Amino acid sequence: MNRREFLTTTSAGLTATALARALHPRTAYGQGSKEVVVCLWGGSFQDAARQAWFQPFEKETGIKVIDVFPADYGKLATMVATKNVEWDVLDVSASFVPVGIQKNLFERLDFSVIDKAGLMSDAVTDFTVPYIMWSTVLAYGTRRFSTTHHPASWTDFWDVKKFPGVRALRKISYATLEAALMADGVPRDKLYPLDVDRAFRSLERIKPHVKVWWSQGAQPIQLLTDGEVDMTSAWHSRLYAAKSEGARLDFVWDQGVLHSSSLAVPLGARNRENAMRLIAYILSPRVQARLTDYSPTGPANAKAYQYIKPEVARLLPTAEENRAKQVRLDEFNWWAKNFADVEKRFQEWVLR
Amino acid sequence: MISLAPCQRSPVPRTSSSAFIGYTLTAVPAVLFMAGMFAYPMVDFFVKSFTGAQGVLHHYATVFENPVDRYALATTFKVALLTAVLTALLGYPVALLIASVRPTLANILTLLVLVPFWTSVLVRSYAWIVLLGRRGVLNTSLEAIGVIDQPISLMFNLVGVAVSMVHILLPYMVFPTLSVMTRLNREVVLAAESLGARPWQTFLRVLLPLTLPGIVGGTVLVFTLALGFYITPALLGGPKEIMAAMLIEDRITRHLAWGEASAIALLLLGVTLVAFGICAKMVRQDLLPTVKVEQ
Repeated sequence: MNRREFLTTTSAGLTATALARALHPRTAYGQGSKEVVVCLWGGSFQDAARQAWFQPFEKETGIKVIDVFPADYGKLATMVATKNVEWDVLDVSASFVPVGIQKNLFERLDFSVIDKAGLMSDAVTDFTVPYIMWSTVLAYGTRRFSTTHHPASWTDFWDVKKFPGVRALRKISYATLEAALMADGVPRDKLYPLDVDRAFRSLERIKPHVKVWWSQGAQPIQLLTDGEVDMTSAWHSRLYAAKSEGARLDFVWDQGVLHSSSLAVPLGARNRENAMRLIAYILSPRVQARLTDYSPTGPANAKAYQYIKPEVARLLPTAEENRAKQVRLDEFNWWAKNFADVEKRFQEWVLR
Repeated sequence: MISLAPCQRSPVPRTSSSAFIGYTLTAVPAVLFMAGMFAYPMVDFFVKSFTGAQGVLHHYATVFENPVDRYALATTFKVALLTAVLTALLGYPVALLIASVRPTLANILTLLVLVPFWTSVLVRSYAWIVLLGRRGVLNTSLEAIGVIDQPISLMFNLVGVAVSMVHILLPYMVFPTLSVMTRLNREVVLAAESLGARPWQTFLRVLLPLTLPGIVGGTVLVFTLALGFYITPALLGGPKEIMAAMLIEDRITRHLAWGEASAIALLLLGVTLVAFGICAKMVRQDLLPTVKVEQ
């Protein structure tokens, strides 16, 4: 696909918003309006969010939720600059949170409406709140490895003698550096502040065995399913989906890396009040718990667990037993300060 | 196919001045559309690439100082050039074949060239993964007949990128070349033969120079399109196959560094214009004298 076609595809999301607006004319801007536009990343997660959150919200409040995709920070910046903001609620990744705040792209959240209780306090900013948790885990192909003999830690992933085979890793510094350090023997609770030089020395050792540095979430699943690689890092939700469809792959929670995703309200959003209400609704414990009926995504609100069935809870990355094996990415402290420099070094290193 | 315009001399007959004004007026909507949708954003890019708190050339300096950017720009031109040369080598014989067979067969062959056009580029890229992979059709077949005993790397490197890009861009080479060939006066070939030229002489001294505008037009078109490729190199390339489009996307969406993104875009545009210039010169200086001299 060339760039132009890519843009055509992605702009379909914007067109959908425009169309939705044309079909549901507003009575008034801002206060008292009867709609709210949410922009996420699409895919099966968005379907789950629609069923678990948006449709019940519509029923309970009478506020129409229009959900579109994909989230695009370039588009966000254009919308804010041209004061033509189509989105009211937007999914932002943790690495973009400091950028968006610094460039003044977000509205201040109204914490008289949104209840912070139960959220990880370090992930809450004046402009963003975490709303889901997901994991980067070690996955392997079951053609090559069995349930009794398979790589079970990053140390195993780095051990090409004990576990021969082709590897893949994500072409981004965060989570990858953590994996490299754990492979080198750094205990999970001693990772931060990251020893960047040591991480790169460790990565240097595995580099000859990494055939693919992936960038799209679907790639590692495809690579494992086709037997193109034997082990890789991948996102847990995609792995679940592929595994339940019978793909020959599996994964371990051990030394997985927990990420959060946040919600923000773009500066100048037309339905600000409704946006605050929707965010408050999504973060309430029962509503957080409801998502797990549709998607194996972890709730960001710890209070949600009392409402989740135990057989569902143990599949989630944030379940106590799974969480205990993983490390939480220090997205809002260490990475917020170091991402720009470390990522630049990482991208240069991959090329060498 | 605007890219063909500078490379071809189209024999449009002169018209009366009133008809000319009429034609001009009908072109106004298109001109306005291009001015608003294309020219204005280009000017905006241009301005953005040279403005910023840290000086006029800051964005360009940032791009040139970053080894990843330098490498990616070089790779982009290398991959685009490779793709253009390969499509020319593969596309020319196809066009020649279509131009020389019966009309019915020519239609069928044209259709075959067109068919991949109707499939999404993303789907075609994934299809190549199925064919070129470690356990792909090609590797398993070669292993089965004993040509190789280890799977060979056909993907996640330059080979995979080149194969898939050539496949996607081949029609852009075939059709411009074909359009020149079909307009060709066949009698020049017969004349050459009757004057005792051997087949290779007829090809090198008559057919090739006369069809050169098509090849040059197609090559420039393919080269230009290849410069902007994004998903195909991302899926079928290795870490070393980074294209400029990926840098632009990364700058715009992740870093919101639009000045730098504009600078990269303008560098690409500059190279494209240079390619056009060379193409226009090649056609004019090469083709016309050759035809005239061979009285």
